[in-house]
Amino acid sequence: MKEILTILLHIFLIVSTCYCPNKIGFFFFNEKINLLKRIELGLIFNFFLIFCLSFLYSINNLIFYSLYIIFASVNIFFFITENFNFKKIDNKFFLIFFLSIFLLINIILSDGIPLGWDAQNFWIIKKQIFSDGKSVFDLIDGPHIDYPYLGSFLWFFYSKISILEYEYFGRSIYIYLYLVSIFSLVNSFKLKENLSLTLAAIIFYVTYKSNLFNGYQEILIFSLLVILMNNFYYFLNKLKKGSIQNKQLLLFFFILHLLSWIKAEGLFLVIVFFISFTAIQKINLKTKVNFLFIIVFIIFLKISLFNFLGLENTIQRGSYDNIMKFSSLIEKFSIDRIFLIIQYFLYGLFENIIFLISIIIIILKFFFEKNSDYTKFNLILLFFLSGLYSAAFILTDINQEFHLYTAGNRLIFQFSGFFLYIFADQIIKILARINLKKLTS
Amino acid sequence: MLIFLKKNFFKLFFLFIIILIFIVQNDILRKTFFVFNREYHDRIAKKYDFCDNESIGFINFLKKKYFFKNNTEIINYKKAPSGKWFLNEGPQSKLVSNINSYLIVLNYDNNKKQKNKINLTNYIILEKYKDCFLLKTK
Repeated sequence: MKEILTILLHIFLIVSTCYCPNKIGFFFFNEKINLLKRIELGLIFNFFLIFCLSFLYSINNLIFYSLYIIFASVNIFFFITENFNFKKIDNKFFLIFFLSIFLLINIILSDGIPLGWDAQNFWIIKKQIFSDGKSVFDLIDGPHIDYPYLGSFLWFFYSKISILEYEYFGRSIYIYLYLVSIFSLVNSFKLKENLSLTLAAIIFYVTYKSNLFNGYQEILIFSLLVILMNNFYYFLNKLKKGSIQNKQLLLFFFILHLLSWIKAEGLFLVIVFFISFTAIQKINLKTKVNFLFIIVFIIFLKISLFNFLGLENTIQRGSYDNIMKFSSLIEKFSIDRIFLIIQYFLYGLFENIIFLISIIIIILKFFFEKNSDYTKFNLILLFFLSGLYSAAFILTDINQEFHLYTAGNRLIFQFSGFFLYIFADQIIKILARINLKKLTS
Repeated sequence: MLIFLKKNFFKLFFLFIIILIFIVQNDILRKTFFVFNREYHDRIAKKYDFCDNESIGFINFLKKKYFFKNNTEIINYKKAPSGKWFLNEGPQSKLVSNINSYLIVLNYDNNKKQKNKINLTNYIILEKYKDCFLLKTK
């Protein structure tokens, strides 16, 4: 009974502390945003704050906890005062669906979702460094000092603030981020509640697997990419004179920065996103230059903070050590190796319906809407993601087939976060074509 | 209330069905029962092998009987995670014992040639289950 009550309390704590007051939401979006969007925004700010505070943890715990308690208290206050009248909240059933699923996955998690290989060897060990009261400077004694630590720190932090301090309470923030990303995406289409429920259920059933929460960090990357694209399309549709306001670019900075601190490939995804971003003609040069500064700043920040913490600025130690050796590089480019990559890429596509359908949509759009900014953006994104996938497995020093077998699908799953918006958009069109009068009326 | 139910019948029904499918598909009622009735560490340990791969079950058994220091060594002869994370997880890991000479050996196969194999005769065997041991230096 105690555990179930703790789960309920933990859910309340997560939902209420990861909240953004109305006025701040208005500041960023120039309009009143609804509850789910405020939750999404609050979650991003919360993660960013926890990242900043992570440097204080165990060095000055008084300031660390005081600052978080102030931040959390303000959020809880606004969460209660702004949403006290439940009757006034739109899309009640949609929210009930969201909260029910969050509770149910938490129960599955509390019963036990076994940790994956990397989670047991690296991510939870990093988390335990913090659980033992050590600071970010002690990460140097842990495994894989070339890996970022934000996912592990969130894992530690949310298990620490739960009453029972069990490890799985930390992983429930992963569930929350995942659910917020997909429900906020559905919410952004501003559909009627019946249709929203249908779409959310479809996306949820297509993407959900319990082992998404086995301690691997891919789910965080996937969810952050969904949030990134959701906001990106939002600002693109509301573009005025081709420019995105600086405060909105700040929001992109938060999301992209978080991405780069979850996993090593996060930084590559940030760069790929930027390259695709520059292809959009609708956006003016000034915005693109500002965006470039953001990307350079994110890269600079990551490299310098890694140096400051004594961590290694390398790409996956042990997997790409010979990347600079010309002779070994030449050996790696063989027909067999390329063929194997294509084989696993195709296999991965059929495992990931979102990515598969999105590719088909992007290719079809290329023929019918060649000059559309969206098509160009998605094509470039797809091109560079395929390049990233190929490079990751052609340059690997470890057994290529083993690497593809263990990491190929996970990489494709992460990438699919970029395309969930397109997938959802297509589902809406199909639902509209079916013309379910009852659904849409 | 009746008007509300009538007005939102489709939404309620749809929501009920989706959640019901999810509950049945994931066996959530049984899992809820276990959360109520089984202790946390036992539940987690049951998700892994007792004395194979990570051997979390065996480590859980040891955790209940002994207090280990955080730096207790675990040698796993199988290509699997050491299970050390489980030893350090939870409230027990905070209780520090004075004994620092424990060694946990997992998946030790006497008949097989294994890398850096330790000699069991050099140790006192405190616990043994199949190929998993808790050893203490003599």
